Amino acid sequence: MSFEETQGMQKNWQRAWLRLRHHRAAFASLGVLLGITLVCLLGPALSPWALDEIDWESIAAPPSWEGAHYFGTDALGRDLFVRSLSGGRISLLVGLVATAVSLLIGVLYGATAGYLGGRWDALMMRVVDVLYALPFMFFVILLMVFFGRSLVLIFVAIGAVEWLTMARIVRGQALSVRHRGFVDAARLSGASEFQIIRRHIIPNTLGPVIVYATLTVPQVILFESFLSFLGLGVQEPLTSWGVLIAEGAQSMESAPWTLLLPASLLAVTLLALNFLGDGLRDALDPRTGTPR
Amino acid sequence: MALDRPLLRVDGLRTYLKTDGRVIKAVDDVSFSIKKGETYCLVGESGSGKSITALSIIQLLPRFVSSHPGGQVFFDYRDQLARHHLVDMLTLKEERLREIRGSRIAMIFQEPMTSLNPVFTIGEQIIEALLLHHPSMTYPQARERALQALQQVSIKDADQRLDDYPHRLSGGQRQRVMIAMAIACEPDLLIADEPTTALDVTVQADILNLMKTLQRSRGMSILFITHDFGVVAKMADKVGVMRAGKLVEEGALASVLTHPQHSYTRALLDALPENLPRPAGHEAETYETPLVSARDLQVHFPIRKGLLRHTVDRVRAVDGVNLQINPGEIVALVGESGCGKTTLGRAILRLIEPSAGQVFYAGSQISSLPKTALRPYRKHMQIIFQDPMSSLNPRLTIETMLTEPMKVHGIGRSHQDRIARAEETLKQVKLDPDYLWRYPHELSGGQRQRVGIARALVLNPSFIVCDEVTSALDVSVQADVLQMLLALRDERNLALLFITHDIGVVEYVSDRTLVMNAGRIVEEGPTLKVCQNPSHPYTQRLIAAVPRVATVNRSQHIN
Repeated sequence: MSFEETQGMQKNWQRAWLRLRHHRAAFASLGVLLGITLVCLLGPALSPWALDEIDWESIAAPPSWEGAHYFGTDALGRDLFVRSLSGGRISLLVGLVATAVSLLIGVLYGATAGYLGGRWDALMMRVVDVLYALPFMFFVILLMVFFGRSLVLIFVAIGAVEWLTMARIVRGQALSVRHRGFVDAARLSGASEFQIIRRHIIPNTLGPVIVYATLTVPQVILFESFLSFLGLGVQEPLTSWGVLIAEGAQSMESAPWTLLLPASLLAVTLLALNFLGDGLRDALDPRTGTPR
Repeated sequence: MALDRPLLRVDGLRTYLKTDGRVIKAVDDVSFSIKKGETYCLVGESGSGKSITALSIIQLLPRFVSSHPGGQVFFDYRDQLARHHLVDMLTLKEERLREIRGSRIAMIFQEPMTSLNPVFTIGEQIIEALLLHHPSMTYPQARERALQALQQVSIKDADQRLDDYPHRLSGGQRQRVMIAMAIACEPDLLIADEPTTALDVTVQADILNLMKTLQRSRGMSILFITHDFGVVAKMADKVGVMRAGKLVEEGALASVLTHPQHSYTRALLDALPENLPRPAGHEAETYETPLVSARDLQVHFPIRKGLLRHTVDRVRAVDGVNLQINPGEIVALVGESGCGKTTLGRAILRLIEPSAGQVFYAGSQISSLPKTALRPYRKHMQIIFQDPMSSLNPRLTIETMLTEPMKVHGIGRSHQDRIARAEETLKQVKLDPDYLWRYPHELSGGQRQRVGIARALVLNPSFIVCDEVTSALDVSVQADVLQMLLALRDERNLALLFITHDIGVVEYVSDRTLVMNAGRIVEEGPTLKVCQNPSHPYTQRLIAAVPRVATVNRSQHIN
């Protein structure tokens, strides 16, 4: 790629960035997300308590500054602040990585099927239908049996399921784009199929893709807690927001903070993700006017 | 009740639309009146405010975006007891408006495909409208009236059609149903917003004749909105020319068309293909081998059914076509929608694979070449599309659109060089080189079509398929684009296959004309001969159906 081309692309990204900055809710959400990530990464180190350390003096204690239990403790006397933040690491990681995996596979697969159309489309989408029909739990248990339990496997398992819906959405979009004039013009100019898919099909499917991706992240986080609940996900002493919420729900009446604090962390994250998704969709679309 | 009172009097109407915090003066101080039994044509280019005027009269604009800071619309409302009231539509209560809409003022729209509800039968839709305005009417009576209405708009087997769903009817039939619905309640005023724009010329001619007959037999007034001066010439008693929300000229049909007072009207009339100065005749040179030719070309689309999607039948979109196009020649391919002309153009370019037959470029057969071997030929053969909105990728800048094909074919030494070439091409299509850095949505329709032409030109092709390139454009823009294409042809010795349904454009632009019907070429010859002295009955019908401004000029002069 020559110098000027790189410059041209930089200009487009700059414009997109400018548009995102102009979208106040999205830009604030980006700040919130970065903040939560940072706190999750650094927070546990700031607390005197460790993840699996039991404070025998305060079991199921409400939040207090004296014992350095900022979020209180759970039914076993473990510090909820540390557990919530390190649980956040797992949840955010699973949410983002599994969504990224499903995006990558789903968009490529769906765009290819939609663009090629005809027999190829039929064949590729039948494969998706068959995978849809597989019971998810059965699939996960099979994976666990073959490969043993690991965090990576959770990504693989969730990603392998989530891309199916993404592929269907992208394929539908691609079908409507492929008969537009610019695709024919690109074929006539001798562009290869891959170039056409990359330059003309995928960018024009972005709107719904981003919206769906922001919906996928919470889905994935909840999926993970479901797996953990069944004993197929992360294992003690490691934890995640989903696990914490499930545990908190059990002691909701006696110790409401064990439910409310991890749940509000999750809620704030998901809300911020939705706003960010909206902002990204607008920012990446050149038809949204560039603010001056 | 005064008999000479106009049916509708629009007095200083202003309609402002609010969008994104801006206020657009869509209709700005427009006054005109329509007498009983009269046809008033509002004519203008897109965005001139003619449709908004109609919607303001019938009060169909959403209240939260539109406002009327001035003006009155007086309508001579005849209620069910035949008492006359002079009402101002702008200040009327919603209940009274509902009484008037559909019963005293009816409206038909451009798109017959979307104006009928697909999940109800035609009969149900007409009967519903009737019962709404005549609460005392019984269902069998309403059905009888609906049947009569369908018969009046000359729908064959009306009693069976009554129970058909809209998808079983052709576009022309649907528009007839819309008219039947509109006249079923015997309105005093019919507002027709581009009612024939989406239809073929022969169908258009039928519908226009039908509207005239109905109007005469019922003494109905028509407010006819159109962009097409040919249609105006056929329909209007009075004409109003709109531009940017203002009525710039108004008068009787003959005086406006033959002695336009306003410079804008004159410019519009001069831009009609039939009035454009013909360029010096293109010298028909003789070539040993044609640039592009097709031999017995066929494109069949399989109709698949069942789980295994086996082929049960074929649609013969192109059914054995032979044609030859010489370098520098403009060949028009004319036909009505569904005749296969677009498919033929795409098959020649191999955007669709032909089912049988051969295509030759400069003597070499290209119809069975594998994709990789086809690539060197690609740059010689390009296409320009009808809809400049959907044919440009909204996510790329013009610069990327123009330089990328050059990169694929290794034209230009560096990116800088390719940009220079792209700028040069933009200048040729009369666009500022600065437009390279814009996105399609930042351009107007005409500018986008120029970019579409520039994109076809950057590879320096010798043959371009122009697929209805001017159908989506206003007349004045159309004239510019046509003149530009002619100039480019002379400059570069380009051969063009000009696919269109517009006979006026054909006469202006082409050297030779092919007439296509049902997948076959039924007539072929020099344009002048085909258009003025057609020999095939289909061509004769087609040519006769074209509404022309010139007919008014001549007949009015004799009068």
